[in-house]
Amino acid sequence: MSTSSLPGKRSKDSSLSKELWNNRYLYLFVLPGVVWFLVFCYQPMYGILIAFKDYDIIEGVMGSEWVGLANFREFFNSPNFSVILTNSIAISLLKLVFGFPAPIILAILLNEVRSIVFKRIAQTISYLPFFVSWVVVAGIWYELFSTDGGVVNQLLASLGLIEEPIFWFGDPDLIWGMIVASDVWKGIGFGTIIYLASIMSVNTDLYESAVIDGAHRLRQIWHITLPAIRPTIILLFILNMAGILDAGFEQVYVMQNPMLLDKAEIIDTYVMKMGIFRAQYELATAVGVFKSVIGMIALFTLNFLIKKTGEEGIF
Amino acid sequence: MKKRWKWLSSALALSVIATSLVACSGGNNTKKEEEQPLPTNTSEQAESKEDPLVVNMLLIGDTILPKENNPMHQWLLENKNIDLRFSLANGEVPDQMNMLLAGGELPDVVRYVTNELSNSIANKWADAGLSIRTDELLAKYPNLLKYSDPDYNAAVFANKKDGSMNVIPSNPASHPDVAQKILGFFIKEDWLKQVGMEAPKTTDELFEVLMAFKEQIADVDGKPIIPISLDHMGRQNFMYTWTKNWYDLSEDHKTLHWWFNHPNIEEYMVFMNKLYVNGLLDREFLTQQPDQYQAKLSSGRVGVTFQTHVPMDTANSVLKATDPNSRYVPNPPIRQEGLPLPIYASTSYSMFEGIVISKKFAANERNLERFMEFLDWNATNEGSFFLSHGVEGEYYVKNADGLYEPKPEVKAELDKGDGTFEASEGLKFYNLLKYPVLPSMEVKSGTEELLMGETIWAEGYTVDDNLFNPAGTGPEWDKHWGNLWPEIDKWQAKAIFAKDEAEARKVTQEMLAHFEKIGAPEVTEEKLRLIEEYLNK
Amino acid sequence: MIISRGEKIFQGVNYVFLTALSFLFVYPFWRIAALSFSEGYEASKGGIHFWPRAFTWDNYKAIFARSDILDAYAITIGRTLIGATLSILLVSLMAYGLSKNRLRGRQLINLMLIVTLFFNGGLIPTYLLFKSLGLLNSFWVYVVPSLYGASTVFIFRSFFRALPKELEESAHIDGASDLTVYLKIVVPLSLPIFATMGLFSAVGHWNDYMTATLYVTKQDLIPVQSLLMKILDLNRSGKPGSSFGMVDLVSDTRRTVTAQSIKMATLVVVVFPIMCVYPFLQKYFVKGVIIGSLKG
Repeated sequence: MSTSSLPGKRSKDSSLSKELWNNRYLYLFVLPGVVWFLVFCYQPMYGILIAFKDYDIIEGVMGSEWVGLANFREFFNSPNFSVILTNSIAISLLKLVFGFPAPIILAILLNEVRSIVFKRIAQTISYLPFFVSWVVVAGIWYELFSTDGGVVNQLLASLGLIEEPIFWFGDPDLIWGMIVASDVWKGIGFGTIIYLASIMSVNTDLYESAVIDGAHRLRQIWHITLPAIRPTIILLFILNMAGILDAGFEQVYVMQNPMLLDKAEIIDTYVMKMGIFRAQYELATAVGVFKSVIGMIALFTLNFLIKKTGEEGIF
Repeated sequence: MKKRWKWLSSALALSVIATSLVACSGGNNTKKEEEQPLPTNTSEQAESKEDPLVVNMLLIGDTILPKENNPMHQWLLENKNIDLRFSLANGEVPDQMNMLLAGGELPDVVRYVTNELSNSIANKWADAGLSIRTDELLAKYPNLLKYSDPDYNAAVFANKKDGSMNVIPSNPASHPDVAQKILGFFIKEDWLKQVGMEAPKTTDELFEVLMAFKEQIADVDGKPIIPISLDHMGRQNFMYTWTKNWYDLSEDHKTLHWWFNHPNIEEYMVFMNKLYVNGLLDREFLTQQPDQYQAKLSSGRVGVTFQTHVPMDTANSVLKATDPNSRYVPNPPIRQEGLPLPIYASTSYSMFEGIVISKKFAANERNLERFMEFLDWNATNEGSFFLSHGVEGEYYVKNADGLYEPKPEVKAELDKGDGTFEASEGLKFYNLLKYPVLPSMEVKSGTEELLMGETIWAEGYTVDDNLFNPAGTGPEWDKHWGNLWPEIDKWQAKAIFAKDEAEARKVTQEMLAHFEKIGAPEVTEEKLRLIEEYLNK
Repeated sequence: MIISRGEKIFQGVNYVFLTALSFLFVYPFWRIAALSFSEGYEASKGGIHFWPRAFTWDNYKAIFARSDILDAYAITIGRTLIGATLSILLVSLMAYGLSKNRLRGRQLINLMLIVTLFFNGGLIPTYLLFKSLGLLNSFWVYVVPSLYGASTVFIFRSFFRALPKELEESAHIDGASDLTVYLKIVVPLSLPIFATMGLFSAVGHWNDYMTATLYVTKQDLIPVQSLLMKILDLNRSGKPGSSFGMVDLVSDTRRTVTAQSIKMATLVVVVFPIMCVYPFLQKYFVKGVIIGSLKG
């Protein structure tokens, strides 16, 4: 049984069953998961058909009338479609560009801290905003950036940087920045956790030998720390692609106000508003399918490109 | 070989066991609730007492339940032989109702918040055979129609397919006999006195008063005052000064305007622009979060606003604590000279909730009968008084004028305002129909300022023509309304903050043209047609 | 080891920067805490930034006077512990299996998982599934439907694949089965990732309020976050143009606690316990125990 870990020959049946037997634990590990996914993810997936139907609950999904792409067309033809699509893409991309590297940088900076006590405290504090719900966060940010005695405007004025208070939450041109900034601020601490886990499992011997070779800290970071977390970065980046059109419903919904709608109406908030007067499962499902298809294209494209560079992709 | 099969089969067995455990644990909990005791033979009723009637009632749209074993529950059990058990569906009402529809079963009784959408789903319940028709019940127990109008019910609640009623309408909060005035304009009383002016009743007067505030009232807590501020509801109601209401239907039923595309909306924009240009309007009125708005009210920096009494009560409590003369009081409706009075709210026969009885529960005729008798008693004045206020003398007593009022210690508890006292004693919850205690029977509750509104706001309240809602809606509404109603908010920002009147007018015209393109004409036409049809029925 | 001057400056700047950042991070929570200890009326005037005004315990008293708070906590803690533990156990096992190239059907299963990242059935089909499995109004509705997640599987898998193969191979040569290798070698090496994903799962459980909203009507079975939602009575869908909402309570109120101030206290009460978990987990964020055995 000494070669039990090696792949068996596939030419004969008996070798096949032997191979399965040798790897029995692996199959056992995977089996409950497969069953779970089949039951909880695949069984309800027929619901996607709602996007193509005139859904009648009593008739059920299968019994409802087929309307093809009518629901999609209704969505694409809605008056503000190009606006909400632009906003959704712009906000997601900006969040990606600024929000993705942020936890990595913070994780590295936190890792560099010598004092363990400071490190622990800073780590714990950094993820506090994650736990505060968006409703409350929006309330706080609105007050801080208010033109009516808000702290930020007062500070800027006292430093002589501005004369009039800036209407932070009233200017459509600023709202993307505010959304991205508040999202980064809220999620950065929690995002560092997974990078820290990777960083901390790096063998410290590597650092020691680098020092002996004369490398200063920045080089060490570049050559040791970053490569160590590269697989994590790549994986999370690809996974992010899946939600490419998710600009962050809850956040955007609470941060919206009438003055900002030209720039702050995204796909999800639009769907939600349409759904207030009639439970439009068709529209919501069709939009979901649309977002998913785009996300799928994005993910597989990225995955393909990454594998081309020799790295391991997700699939 | 054998070993392998052993492994596979034990793995399979484990998964099966796990799944069945999951299934079982879920089932157990619901089984107990649904067991119904068998009714005793009616002829033996005189001697043997029937088992208590167990009713499992689901509330959709409420947020609070009474505590277990509260005194009222016990009293009802002992004296009315009924065991009412509540459960609560959190979340959006239509979704909850649709899930029940899809699932194919209802609890014994369901009470839901009514609107066009939820009513249609309730009727779908009946179509699917999950609930019973109520035409006969409503005929048999006329008390249930005390606050509703059969014609109105037929128009709004009845099943569009066959005209059947499948709902028992409840919660008559807007009925003319019992409706209370809870919203309107508020103005800072001490400021008005300070500038020596009368409560404004027209837009011109309002402008004068606001200018006077701006010029004469000093900063508060080091911050400049805000002559007028409005939130979403306030803005909309202020638009009614020019558009009359959220819809304006001509006498001959040939012309219909919505508040957002009414020709007079231009004057609203112009007036607001004038307020802005003169520094009278809260610059944050479109962007402020509720907390910020409340802070402005509670610190007494705002001169005029439109609100329900709740935030104003809070603000007044804070203000009066430091200065007894500082408070907000109701202000009469503001009208534009030459235009009709705005309508802020109307009383009608609209019932805000509906009670549905499941077919399964009603299959046992005796149980249905007992439940209906309870509802019938609920509908009487004595019944609704009792269920709202408890055993007489225990919580509420008659005062010298013969009106009921809460005992001092009870009042203190009620005043906490968080509903815990009612929950622990079981007051109000078992008033399933939510019928109010007659205003003539008890001391009016509410702050002094709220009570002032009864007279001051009176002109802004009318009796509904009961025409608009019953006519219903159609596919054009479904298709376009969602795109229409939020639109005006976006345009307000541009029009009201325009640099001068000309620009404000220009933007408004653009807005009206935009509405023409995104479905307003279709929706209007359809509604007019529906009203025609309704009238000809 | 000589630390260069450049490094010292870097260290100093880093400390200052992180301190400033920490202040930004902690501020909102600090403020919420300050508001929670302030009398509601006073707080409604605004302007409370650092310290409570009109200090009071009333907000907390109002919360803990509710009899349903203890039930809610029990549910939350129960689902967090059971749910997170079970989930991490099962997901890591599956990920380990998927991390081995010798598993037949690996790519198929990977694809199957990826698809679930994009498509789900929606409200009604999921509700019907839960109903048929008996999960409605059951404690298990909080645990079973969230046992696995494609992202989590992939993250574990990626981590496992990055582990040095020599350790496992030498164990196999010595006759160890996959199970033994997993338990005795892989898990101890992967403590950081277990701790991380465990924390993520726990936080997900702790913060979730949607499940109860959709699938639970028994009020003694709802978690603390859903209770918070009830207390806040968040009414998201404002409906202008329709008749005004129900009015059934016109109460004469003199409150020291307002809805706002209770909201603040509830936030603290809900968030505080889970915040305290991370510091305890930080000790797992150290290099794996067996790494040293690779040398020589």
